[in-house]
Amino acid sequence: MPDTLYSQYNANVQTAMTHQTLVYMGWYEAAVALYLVAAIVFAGYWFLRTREVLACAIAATVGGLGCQIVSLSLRAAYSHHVPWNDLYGSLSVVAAWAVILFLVFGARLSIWYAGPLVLGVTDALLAYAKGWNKGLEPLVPSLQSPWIFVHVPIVLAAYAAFLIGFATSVVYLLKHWDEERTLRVAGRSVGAAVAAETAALGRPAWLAWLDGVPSSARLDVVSYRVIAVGEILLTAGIILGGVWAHMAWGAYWQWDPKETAALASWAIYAAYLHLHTRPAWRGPRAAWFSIAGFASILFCYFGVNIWISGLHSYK
Amino acid sequence: MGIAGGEKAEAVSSAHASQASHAPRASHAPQPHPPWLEDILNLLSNVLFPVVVFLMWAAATTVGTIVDQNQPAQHYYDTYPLPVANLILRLHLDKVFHSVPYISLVVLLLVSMSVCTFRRVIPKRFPPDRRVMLDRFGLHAILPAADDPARAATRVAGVLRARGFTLRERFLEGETWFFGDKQKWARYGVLVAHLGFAVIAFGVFLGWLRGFSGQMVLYQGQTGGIAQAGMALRLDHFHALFQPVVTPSGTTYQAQKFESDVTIWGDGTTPRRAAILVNHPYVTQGGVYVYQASYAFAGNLRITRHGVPVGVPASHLNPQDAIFLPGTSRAIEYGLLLGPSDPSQTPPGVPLPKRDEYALWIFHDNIPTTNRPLLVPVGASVDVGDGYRLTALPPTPSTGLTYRYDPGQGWVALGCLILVAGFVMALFFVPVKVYARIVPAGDGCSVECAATTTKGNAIWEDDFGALAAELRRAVVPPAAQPPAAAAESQVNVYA
Ligand code: HEM
Repeated sequence: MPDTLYSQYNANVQTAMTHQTLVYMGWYEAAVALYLVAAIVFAGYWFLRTREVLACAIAATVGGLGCQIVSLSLRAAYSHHVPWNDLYGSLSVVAAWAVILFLVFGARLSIWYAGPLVLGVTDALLAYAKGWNKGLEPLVPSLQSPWIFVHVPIVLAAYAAFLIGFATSVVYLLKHWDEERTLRVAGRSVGAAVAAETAALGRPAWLAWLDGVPSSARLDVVSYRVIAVGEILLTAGIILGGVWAHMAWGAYWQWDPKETAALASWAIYAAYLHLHTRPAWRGPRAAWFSIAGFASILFCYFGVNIWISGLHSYK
Repeated sequence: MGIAGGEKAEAVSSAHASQASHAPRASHAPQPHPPWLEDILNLLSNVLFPVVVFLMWAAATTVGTIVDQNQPAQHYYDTYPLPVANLILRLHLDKVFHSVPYISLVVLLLVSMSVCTFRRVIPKRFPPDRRVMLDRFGLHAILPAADDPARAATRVAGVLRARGFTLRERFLEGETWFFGDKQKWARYGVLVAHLGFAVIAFGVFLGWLRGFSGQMVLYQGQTGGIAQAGMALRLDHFHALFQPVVTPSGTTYQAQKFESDVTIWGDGTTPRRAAILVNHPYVTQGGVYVYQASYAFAGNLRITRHGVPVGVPASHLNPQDAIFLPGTSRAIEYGLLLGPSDPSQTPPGVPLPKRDEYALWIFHDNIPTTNRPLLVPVGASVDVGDGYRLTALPPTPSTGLTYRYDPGQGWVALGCLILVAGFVMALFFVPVKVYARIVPAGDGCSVECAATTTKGNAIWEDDFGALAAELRRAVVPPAAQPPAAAAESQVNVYA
């Protein structure tokens, strides 16, 4: 059974190889390469923590984003419609949003230390997208609507925000573990002064960068803010989808698998936000919620598009 | 006398109520409910309750996403191993979304949300402006000021106002106090978001109660009615535009645009013509929406016997429709249309004929008479045997229309707007309350400052650090300014 479901993966690629496709795919490949470089340099920043390294990492990220924007614009120009009409295009937009939001949040909330995770996941998504490229197909009638300009990018931006919330939650859990460990070590020794010296004990050397990361209490707030933005976007995106469905399908809500999967993710993040109003439940529990929420987003995105057929499953 | 007593009792109880509002802790308030009801209400208004219900809702929704919904039982036996299929059917997992438990979860959320709103969100009063222990706050700073208390107070007020705080000045036990709020309105975001959800639920309920919807298929020239709205429409003409798409297995054709030209009457206005396209529904004055949903080009044959038309229906043929020829053991099985009228039916790799033609089989005693389908161009006729002849006529287009009337949709839309507005208010903005106190000390005074937010201290740490630094610049004389590192240590930014 799975063979037939996957059959469009890569098959699409052969379709698409006209000259114009090769041009926009060239820029796409450049973005994949630059994001990889950025992820590696961000990992280097964990160890070196100098402004120069950070600047290089950000430069590679911005360069990759530039290539992606050129690629998406060319695809739009050649096909005369939005570039997010297949899984390839929508994954590219998720990647672009993730990078844009990472740059914005990075500058405002200084979450650069999450860079290897954010860019690693983003680059993996982008590289995987290649196999779903349908080339320059015309839009089917239901997609010929101004709502495609707002509904799709907003939902994809929500996914990107949750991706970043996932990364900061993972960093949170690491930092929290490290703080607890330091406290335990300090508890066994004589006092805080000794604690600093023994801080490195019992921690793998490659996690030394955790010393440079803000406190877990701050990381919790960063995750909360990013997820709050994601949930606002997801709410708006689902609603705009409802407006579009109302114009195109004759009902604002159809219990289509994509809708229901998005609703499930929405409910998980709503639970997260309610949980977060309780001081005692902030912290590790909230971080695990965020990770579970991101797993549900991945299911909503890949699970539904690839395995479950419905009105939304575009491949 | 009885009346006077009653008045007195009321006066007493309202005095109680106003006292209770200053002390919102439930245990101090008179208990109007029996204990078991109090327990239930407490459970419903606990924030952890919706957390659990949200998770159950998410789980049920995920099951409904994974398991195909509303399929015939056979579908589940074909798709899943026997025990799984049995489980799905026994637990009714094939109909999750309209099941009683699923709807109950949503109702439970609504009930808990309402209880919580009335018991926690609305009664939550803002604390009155009174003396508080500022050094007990997670975010607090103590600054030695050189100025006399009055000048220090002016400067503190200036700094706080410049940072967007609405200030109230109080003189409490000989000291000047400032109480300031920023983005206080955002505290109502929770209320607004919850109200939005309730309005959506009301709109959905209204649509379910009073709305209707349905589908109809109309062949060109046919008329169909929408009984609930007392209206009818006739498909005058249907046309579709196709575009070739190159795929690895050959060129296929995709419908690019399709349009039903209809005449509508009976909806309160004079008959009118309208074009209905995907994404462009027709809306009647009564608010009934008519949508373009699907289309088909049906096969169209004329059957004669010895030159005389016979009355077997053969004009709206869909793939695999069979026509049994009376008085014989012969049958025609319709296959599909190949040709420009609807090129999307042409399988990839098969060249598109210039003119429409039908692919069909002729069966005799249940055995096909040819080993490949017979191709009959429009206009041509074929001898079927036993005196029967079929003639291919141009295909008949048909349109699939969906109609829907939903008196709740405006409420749903309004609720959505309220919900998003509430979300932005509650999630994006951080209401902050600051306190400042000018304590006379010797020649000068010291300035104590503290802050709280509704979302913990960590969210406002940086801002508080900046605020304290600015206050220090404003009130502490330059000579007394500590070096930067020491200055940090005087500002406690911790929970
Ligand atoms: C299903 C729709 C619901 C939506 C859209 C919703 C939305 C929200 C939002 C946006 C917040 C603000 C969270 C924050 O500041 O971080 C919030 C807080 C809250 N919600 Fe809900 N909520 C829903 C259901 C419920 C239910 C069923 C309850 C029942 C107990 C509830 C109780 C609360 C409480 C107590 C708060 C926190 C108040 C505070 O301490 O600030 N909510 N809600």
